[in-house]
Amino acid sequence: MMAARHRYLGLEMDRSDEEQLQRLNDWWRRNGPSLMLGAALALVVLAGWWGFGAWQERSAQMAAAAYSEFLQAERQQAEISELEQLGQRLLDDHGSSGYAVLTAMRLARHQMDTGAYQSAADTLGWLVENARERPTAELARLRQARALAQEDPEQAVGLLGSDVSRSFKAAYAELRGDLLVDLGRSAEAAEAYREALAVNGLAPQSRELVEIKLRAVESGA
Amino acid sequence: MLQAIRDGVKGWIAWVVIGLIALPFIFMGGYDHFTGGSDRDAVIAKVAGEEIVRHELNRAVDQRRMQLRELFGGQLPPGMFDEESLRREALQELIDERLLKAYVERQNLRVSDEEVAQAIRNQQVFHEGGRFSRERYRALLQQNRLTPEQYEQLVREDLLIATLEEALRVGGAVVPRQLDQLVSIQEERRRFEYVELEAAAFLDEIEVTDSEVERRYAERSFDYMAPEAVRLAYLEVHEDELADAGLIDEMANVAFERPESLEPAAEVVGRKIAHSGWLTRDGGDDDGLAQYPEIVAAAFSEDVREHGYNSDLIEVSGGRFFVVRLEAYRPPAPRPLVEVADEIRADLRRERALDEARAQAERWSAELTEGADATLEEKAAAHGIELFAAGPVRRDDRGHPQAVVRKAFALADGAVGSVQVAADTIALVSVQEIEPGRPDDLAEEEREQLRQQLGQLVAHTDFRAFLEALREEADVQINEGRL
Repeated sequence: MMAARHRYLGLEMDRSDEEQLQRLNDWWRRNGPSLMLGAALALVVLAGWWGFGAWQERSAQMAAAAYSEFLQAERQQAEISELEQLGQRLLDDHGSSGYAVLTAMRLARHQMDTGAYQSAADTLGWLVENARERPTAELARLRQARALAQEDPEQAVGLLGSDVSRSFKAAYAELRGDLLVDLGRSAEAAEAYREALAVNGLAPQSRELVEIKLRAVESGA
Repeated sequence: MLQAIRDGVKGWIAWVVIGLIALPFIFMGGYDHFTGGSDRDAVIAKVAGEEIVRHELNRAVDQRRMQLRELFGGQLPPGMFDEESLRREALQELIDERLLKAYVERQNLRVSDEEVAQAIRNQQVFHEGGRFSRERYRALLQQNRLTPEQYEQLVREDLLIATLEEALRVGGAVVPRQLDQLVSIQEERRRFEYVELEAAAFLDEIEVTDSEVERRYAERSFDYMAPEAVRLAYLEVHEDELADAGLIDEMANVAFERPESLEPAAEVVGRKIAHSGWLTRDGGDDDGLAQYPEIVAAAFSEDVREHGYNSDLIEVSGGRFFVVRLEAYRPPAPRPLVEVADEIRADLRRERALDEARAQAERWSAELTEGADATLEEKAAAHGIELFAAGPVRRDDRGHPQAVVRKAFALADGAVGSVQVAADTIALVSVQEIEPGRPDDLAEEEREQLRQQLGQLVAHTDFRAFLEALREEADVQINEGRL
């Protein structure tokens, strides 16, 4: 009786296992492919994320190394052609990096020091176009106009006419005044200096200088 | 003008120096800011979501005070820096620092571990016998409850900000045309003449009626107020008159411990309490205490004037000591018309005499400008006034009143104009000749120096504008109440 009962139970168990296996198979057939796909996708995303992080880190390191090389050349008082080559390479290869901002600013200064005002304006113009933040772009445009002041004051005035944040208004207006004096447009220059003084964004020393320039242009000297 | 540029550069250099030496100052004084304090974590400001808390501000104020003390050779000039402006400036710097830190983070700039290590090794504060000492480094960090990792992170942030600042500063430059423009303004020379018309010369012609005096009194009685005044009870002792000089300290202690009365202190030294007449903030005509500014200052101090406590011990010259307390207070009040009528009359006469002088200057100015047959020299001679001739001088000339030189450089060639040069004097200025400044006349060396200085000034101006623009873009909140 007992043996019969065991057999019966065994039969029950076998049947139950089979059913479970069957259910599992059915479930796998239904969900297996999407599960595999999901897992594969997760792996791809994870790998991509890691890869992107690693790429970003590597790019940042490479940009830092390129900047370091530029600084090294600067310290060794390299020729402007070498600085331009190193600087341009950094701007081309790491244009979206913060090091491009620093390099463009420094390179433009060297170009101005060697009298290459148009090149300096071009370098800063690149920064105006590529800067990711407004303060950087506005600073670059101010300096671009300053570089252009030497050879093309008319174009420089044009650059300073565009909309600018409150913080840069005084500096833009002062430079516009200087350029207009140079172009012989005294009344407009005086107006620009007055605008610079009215904005109230000048340090005391700069303010004094603008007041002197305003008096000079008003007295028609 | 050169001076204006040089002052600008000085300001810039001082600012850079402060920036660069800031970090090691963490290790000089102010340890308590790292430890206790009830509201040390109260939020003073938020910069783009990041908090600036009270103990950071306290530390920054301490550092700023120490840096200024170093710049001024160990002592801060009295009255030059008040606590509130120090706190405000320190907070502005902290905000700027946060803005720059956030900017360099967004730019993904890096500083290598070697650079951080090198910077720390170079910091004098960790040096012993002229070399970096690991023990001193650890001890100072421990004293300030900083781990090496935390300190390295601070140095790293400082270096990143310095990298950015330096690149932006180097980028500031001017072109030769701009330099020429400034040199021609600076080197311009002018020859001019002027006369001074003093109000006193017109006083005799001025009559002021009683009704005018009354009208002025009605309109501006607040200009003719009796100032607030105090009457004091006081103890006075002379160190030579006491058997034991230690009694003076005891008197001071008792006066402090029993602030509600002078009696206990009087008993200590066996003196009677004396009483003053009325004293005002500028002294007044009292019986004698008014001659001591220390006593007047104590009489109007918060403790004595507002809370009615005994003052601290006040020592005046000659070994005399005082403790004072308020006996009576008289608030500022308008003086009766009869008392101030003469004063008002004199004021009105002076004002009108100055108006007359101005009107005369303007009449002459119109006559001379219209090409009348007279010159300023002839006008002066006809009226017996001295004619001053200047020049050719530059605009930074100090040999003539500054207002006159300024006016002379604001007028066109051959023009005449008037300007007030003192409270009671109007000057009439006539420009005789303008010699434009010639940039080529400037020596090469001086030109180069000027170019560099101007470049630095421009860099400074640019950097300030850049910082302001960062601030404009970011969300900066200041909790004024907690400042």
